[in-house]
Amino acid sequence: MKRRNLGLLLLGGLLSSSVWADMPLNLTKGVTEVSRDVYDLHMLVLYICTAIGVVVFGAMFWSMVFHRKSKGFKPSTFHESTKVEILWTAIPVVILIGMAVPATYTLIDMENNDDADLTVQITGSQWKWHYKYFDQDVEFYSVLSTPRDQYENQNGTSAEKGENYLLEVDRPLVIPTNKKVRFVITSDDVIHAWWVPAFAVKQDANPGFINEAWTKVDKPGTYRGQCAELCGKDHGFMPIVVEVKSEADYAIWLDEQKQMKANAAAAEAASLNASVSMDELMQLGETTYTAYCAACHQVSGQGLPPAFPALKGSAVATTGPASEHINIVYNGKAGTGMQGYGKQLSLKEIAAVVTYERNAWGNNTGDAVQAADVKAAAGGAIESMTDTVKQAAAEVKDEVTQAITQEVAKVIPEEDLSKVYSQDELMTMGEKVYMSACVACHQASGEGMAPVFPALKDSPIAKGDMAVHIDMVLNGSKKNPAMAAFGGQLTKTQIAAVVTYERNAWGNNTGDLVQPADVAASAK
Amino acid sequence: MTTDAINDQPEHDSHDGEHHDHKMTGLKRWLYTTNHKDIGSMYLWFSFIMFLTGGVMALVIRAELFQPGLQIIEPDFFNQMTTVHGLIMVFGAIMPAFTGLANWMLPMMVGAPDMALPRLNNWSFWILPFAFAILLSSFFMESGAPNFGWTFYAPLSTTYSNGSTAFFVFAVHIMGISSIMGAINIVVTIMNMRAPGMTYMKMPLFVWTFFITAYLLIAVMPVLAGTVTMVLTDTYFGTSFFDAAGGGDPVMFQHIFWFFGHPEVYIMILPAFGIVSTTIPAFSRKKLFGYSSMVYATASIAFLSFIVWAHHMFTTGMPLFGELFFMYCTMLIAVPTGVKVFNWAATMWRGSISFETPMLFSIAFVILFTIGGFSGLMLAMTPVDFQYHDTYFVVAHFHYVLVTGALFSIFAGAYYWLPKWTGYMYNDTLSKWHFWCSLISVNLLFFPMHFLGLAGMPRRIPDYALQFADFNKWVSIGGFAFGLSQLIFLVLVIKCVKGGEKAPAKPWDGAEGLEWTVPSPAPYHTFETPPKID
Amino acid sequence: MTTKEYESYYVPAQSKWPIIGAIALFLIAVGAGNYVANLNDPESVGGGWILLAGIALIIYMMFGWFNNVITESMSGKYSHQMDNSFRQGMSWFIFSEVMFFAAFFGALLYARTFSVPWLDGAGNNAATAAILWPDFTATWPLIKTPDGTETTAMGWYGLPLINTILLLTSSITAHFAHVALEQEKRGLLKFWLGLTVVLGITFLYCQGLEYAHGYADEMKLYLDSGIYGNTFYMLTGFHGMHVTLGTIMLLVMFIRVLKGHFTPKNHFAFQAASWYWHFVDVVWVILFVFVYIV
Repeated sequence: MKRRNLGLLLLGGLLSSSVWADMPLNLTKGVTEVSRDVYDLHMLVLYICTAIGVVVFGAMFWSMVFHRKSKGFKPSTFHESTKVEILWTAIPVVILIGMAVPATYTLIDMENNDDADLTVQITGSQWKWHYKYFDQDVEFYSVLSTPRDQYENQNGTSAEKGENYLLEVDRPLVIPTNKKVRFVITSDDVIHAWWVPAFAVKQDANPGFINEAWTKVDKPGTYRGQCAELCGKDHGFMPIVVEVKSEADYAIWLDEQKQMKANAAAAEAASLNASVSMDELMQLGETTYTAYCAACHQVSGQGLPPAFPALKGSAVATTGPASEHINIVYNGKAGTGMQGYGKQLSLKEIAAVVTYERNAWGNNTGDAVQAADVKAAAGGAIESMTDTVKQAAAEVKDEVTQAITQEVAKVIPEEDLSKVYSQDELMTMGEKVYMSACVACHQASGEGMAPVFPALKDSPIAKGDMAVHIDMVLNGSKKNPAMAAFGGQLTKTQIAAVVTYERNAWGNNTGDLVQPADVAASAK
Repeated sequence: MTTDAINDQPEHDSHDGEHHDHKMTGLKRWLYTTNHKDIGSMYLWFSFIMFLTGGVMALVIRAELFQPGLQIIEPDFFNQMTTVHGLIMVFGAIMPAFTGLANWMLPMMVGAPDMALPRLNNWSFWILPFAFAILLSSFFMESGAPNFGWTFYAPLSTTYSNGSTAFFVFAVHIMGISSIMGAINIVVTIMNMRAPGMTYMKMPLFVWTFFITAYLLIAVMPVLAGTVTMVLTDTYFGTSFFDAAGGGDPVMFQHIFWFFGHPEVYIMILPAFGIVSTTIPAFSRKKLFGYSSMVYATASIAFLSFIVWAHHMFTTGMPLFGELFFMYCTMLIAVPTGVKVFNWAATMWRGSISFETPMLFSIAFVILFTIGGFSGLMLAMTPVDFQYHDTYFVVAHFHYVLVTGALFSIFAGAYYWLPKWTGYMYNDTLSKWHFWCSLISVNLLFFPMHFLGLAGMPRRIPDYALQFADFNKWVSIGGFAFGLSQLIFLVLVIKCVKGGEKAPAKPWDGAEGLEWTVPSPAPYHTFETPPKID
Repeated sequence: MTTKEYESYYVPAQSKWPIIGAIALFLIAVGAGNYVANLNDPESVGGGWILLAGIALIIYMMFGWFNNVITESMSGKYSHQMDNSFRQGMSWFIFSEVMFFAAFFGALLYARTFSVPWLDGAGNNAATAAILWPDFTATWPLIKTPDGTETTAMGWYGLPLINTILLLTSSITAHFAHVALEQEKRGLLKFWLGLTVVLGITFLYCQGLEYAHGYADEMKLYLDSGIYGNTFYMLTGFHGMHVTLGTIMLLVMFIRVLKGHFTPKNHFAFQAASWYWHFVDVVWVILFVFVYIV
């Protein structure tokens, strides 16, 4: 507990009048049929209660005003009436039945989880949500994205709070409109509750059991909620954000997710061979640490003992073997709050965060841990893990390839190798191809993601020999396994276009125009 | 009630050799006492100290929630505050205050010389300070105090708890022993010690409500003991009552806990019904309307309390049938509760009403408790509960029931009987100040919470989204004002104990009951020869 | 009784035993808390000693307190009404004990009817089984938990059956002892009461044997063997503790009988011990049915 001048705080708070957003004064009507039914029920009971209140309190105030001793009112002597008692037992029963009937229908509707168009598994854990789309092989964690300096104000400083303070996440759940979406909800550790007021969905996430709920949203938009069951320290810091997109936008989003996943798998494979410098490890390590570890172990590394031990000067992070340290980060520690991060972080990130923990706060072991070390140390679990990743990556890659091929097939029904395109045509087509097939690694800016994914902007390949460039795109890189061969996935026209694009975009300005025939020649 | 009657009592065996009608002096009087009035006073003082302790924790919570952002404390400490605030207010403030009232008043009301088992009575009391010493000492342990909410849902309280769970469990165990023994004493006193002629249906309603409350306690406190025992073994001995991996279920914890917890809620409100059923007729100068229906209503509420527990658990994924069953049963509770409210209103109707402080608190009780009852009815509707559950709407609901309900009734009772206890009239102006300050601040404190809940603010969070900021500010101001208002009561009681205008045997002209037939202050021993009831 | 003429009701003067009892419970709670919280820390021994001190103090309190009560009773200070207070107090205490067992029986029945079948997909939990526990099959006794811990079920024949017969017999002998007391047949009283105590001790011995079997390698039935082991040991364990307490109570009564206490009209303590014994007997029968047989 930090000391603080409470008086000043109170005064300051009072003077700062309504600078915040307006708060609705009633239950939300929401954006689903069920939520509107619930709202109607809420209003029904509210009106009934108000009416009863007016009658009963009215009678009481009447006697308080008129039947007063100070007015010389003489008390009556009646004190019993079976008739009246029966009456005011029977009337409430009738009113209650009137309320119970619509409530029953709504409840039956809410509990009908059959015939869903789409199923999403929601898993709560301390203190984030995980979403997994059934039959889509898309899954991700969703964590609070409000920067810590906005809410950690104990030392008196405070960054300005954003519009969606504490109600924003890095990756929202995305669902389509007008589809019955079924949620299967569970937890990895303690009980959480997944609540989005606009859907009138609140369902406990019980560890070891699945609860079901469903929604069907009419209106695209962003809807926010929060965890609604005390789940430990950061219960107040695990919001829920759902983006509801039109069906078409949802399909596009789904494709993007699959591609991101494929790229991540490729990056994971590539990172195994890479050796990353200490500086870079420390830098990435710090970012990762702040995002994933600091909530418990604190930015200072001093933790919140005894539940969350200090890392600063701890045996695990200093004298103990790095492999043990990696193992704890990767697999978690049974019986404690320390969960395994193997599922959430890449090998490289784990390597970086372990490096960071072993060198920050005066731990100074000098150890630099590489992705390959993580793979080696985490042992059997990681073997099978990487296999799954590989398998998943392979599957996703197939799907992406298929998707791309189909899309391409739509654009260019038949390939005419002899056709000569203008620069504009090539650049337009090239940009399109680049944005679907290359952008994930080399980035829209062409600056790539060093060291695995080199920049194309000002690169020797994109500005050098055209034949080498075409060969690279057609057949992949012999040195860098991350660079896949696109000869099987893209048409020659597309390759011609994308190479042209790469050689002229981002100020590369070589002026080279590559035609389908050039690619065909190179392919032979 | 002559001195002869007292001296007729046989000489006590014993280690101290003192004659029993002489009060011991100093600490020993309180440590060794078997006198229901001494024990009642100790219960009441203890509960007031606990009320202030829990209140300070509430103020820490409200200070943190004054503005968005974490200003003063860490989230984990915030959770410790909400948890211990709840435990202290339920088990340390409200329940002992009622037991204190029972100790003071029951023997006098039924015309008995003391509680039926006086030594057991003293044991029941003295366990409590030790139990709370253990609970509070966990703040000074490395692990910190319990941080899993007063409802201690597994597995947050088991596998994922901090190191103080064992102390929490054993503190609850001995607290439970205290409650069970206290309740047995109340039951036996009422069944066995009534003055000749006082049949059950002639007992004051106050006695009836404590009688039924004591049964609830005997029935459910052992279940709480069982629950914490399972929490203990799940945490430290590897059992899996609340762990699916071993065939258990975290929701099973909630079923067993709320099987205790819901009757517990009525344990905290039925005695309040008894108090206002005493004060409202007294200051309306008219007999309580529908005495027998009040008795039956109390009994029905007690019965229903055993079959509605799962309405605290509508979002846990119960089967549809369960949700419907518990919704219907819960809605039914509105019927006997309504009967009570209607009866109070009918008692006031065409009475001759005056507004002494006990009456003010009683009227405030009826209106504000009824508001809490209305929100309770809203919460009973399962589909809508999905929206209200675990939001500030619930916090508003149970504080209306427990603060403006139970606590206000305790104040009403205290102001009603204080002259009988101390022998002096209290300062009327101060008491009015206490009432009006409490009434205004308590509504500023709890009424906006309804809106916060409807707007979507979850409970038990140390920081909140910006839209909730304005209301939280006012709630916090109300909280501090309410907290400070209680100091008026403290000053008033101390002044009243020290002296003041002498109180007559019956200071309220409309009051009825055996307790007003003895002088004020009530002699150390009353009714050693029982009065005859016609 | 309220219509009867009111007898003088004995209200004892100050007594030191309640506060001693409170301190004893405090020591027990602190000791047990420390002991349990530091189970995995072999260097921490303080808790156990505090716990033992608390238990010693509460035994001292019981001796002192009951001694006071016995002296008061024997010197004729108690009225018929006082006797009623004791009887009613004891009955409600036994009722509270029943509710304590109800919590554990509740857990057992919940596991059997709800949680275990649900984990295998019963009711609205098809997804639970399909997604989280695909390899789990619900059985009772639950000899293989969802996370794969295996154990063996304790059969009802053999020791448990013998124990049932022992306890049922002891309830009858306790009743005979009571009848003998009321008929002022002190010889028979000593015989039947002594026999009851012996049967109680034999029951406890057999229960110990059964636990030894359970913990042996052939059965691997441990306290932490999933919900079956949990409920088995918690129910039989708490029952065993109550049998121990009941046996001690009966033993004390036996000693008091030898000392010539109790009359056909005035023997509340004896009756309380006997009620308590019937109560543990009834609990056992329910336990035998739901834990062992069904």
